[in-house]
Amino acid sequence: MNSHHEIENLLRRMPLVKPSADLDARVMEVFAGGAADSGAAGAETRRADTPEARSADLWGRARTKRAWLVGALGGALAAAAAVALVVGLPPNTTNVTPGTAPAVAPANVATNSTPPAGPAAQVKPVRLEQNWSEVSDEGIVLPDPQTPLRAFRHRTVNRVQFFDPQRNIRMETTVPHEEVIFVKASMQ
Amino acid sequence: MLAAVFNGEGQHRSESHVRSVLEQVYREHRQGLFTLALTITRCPYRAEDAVQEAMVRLWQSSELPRDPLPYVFAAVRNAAIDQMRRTAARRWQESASIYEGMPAAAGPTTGGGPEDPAAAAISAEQHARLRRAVDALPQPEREVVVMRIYGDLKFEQIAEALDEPLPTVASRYRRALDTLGRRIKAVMEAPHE
Repeated sequence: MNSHHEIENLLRRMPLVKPSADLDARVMEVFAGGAADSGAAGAETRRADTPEARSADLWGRARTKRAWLVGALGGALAAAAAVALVVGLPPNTTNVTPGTAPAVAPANVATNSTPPAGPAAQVKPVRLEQNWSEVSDEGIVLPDPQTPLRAFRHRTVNRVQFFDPQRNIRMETTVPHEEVIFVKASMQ
Repeated sequence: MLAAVFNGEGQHRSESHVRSVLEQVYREHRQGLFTLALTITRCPYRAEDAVQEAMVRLWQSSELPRDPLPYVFAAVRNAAIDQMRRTAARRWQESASIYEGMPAAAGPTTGGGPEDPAAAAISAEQHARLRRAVDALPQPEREVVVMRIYGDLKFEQIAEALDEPLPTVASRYRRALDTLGRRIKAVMEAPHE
């Protein structure tokens, strides 16, 4: 029934809310050059002309600022906690269980853990680092008959554990490493 | 016309050129830009702020594409959306219409009206019903209608301003007019006074 053309004509006949003459002045001020800042300031002034706009602005800006502040503080705390976990905290646990070591025979177990300093330390995150190393003699090898070499196999395992008892978070990294070292041997 | 200030190049970097183009766009499309901002903010004060803010941004960008119309409309739309985001925490909703209140008497109106003054008559009932119908449209449809009817933008320009495919914009417009047609059906069929 109604063609789009009819509706378009009807819409064009509707009286629109008109922008105020003040807007023209503000925009022309922008075009006047170098007026970008003053234009923005003008917008602030214009908004403050109405009580509801002023109230809405105050509420909205306060909420926005609060949101930013909370976000920034949260981010800073998270970053600080992460840095403290990785770098700042001394290793302070004694719960080393050699039985959980890898199958490599622990010829040398180095644990740089220390007992807790006091009651407060019990709730702090702890960091435990363990290193196993083993050297085994692989015997003489002769890559060429004139230069006999003795081979030593050196295996190491580095295990680092983080534990936060408050949040019950545990992280563990285990890095095995193995290398063969050749040392010139003298034939007698 | 705007074409008079184009030099045929893709970009305009001259400061005075940008100013003259922006001024001309603003003078010719002031009402459409404001109405688009009002469609989004539903508050005339914030709509004016959005228009001004967009002009500041455009002025600071010191660069305009060859066809600045979609660019300027897009800037006003973005500024209006920013205005809404800034005040998203408000506890009440603005509900200003893009249309003036009830006309005092039937007669020619100032909304970019038709050529024939006799045909410009619009009854209070038509006005009220149309106003409600347009205000009730979904915002994406309302934006397209405003840009097309009150901004005099082509569908290609609207698509560019909204960064949407042309068929999407066209179908959105058709859907909006279909909706308006259904809602004002009774009034349209009534004889004009």
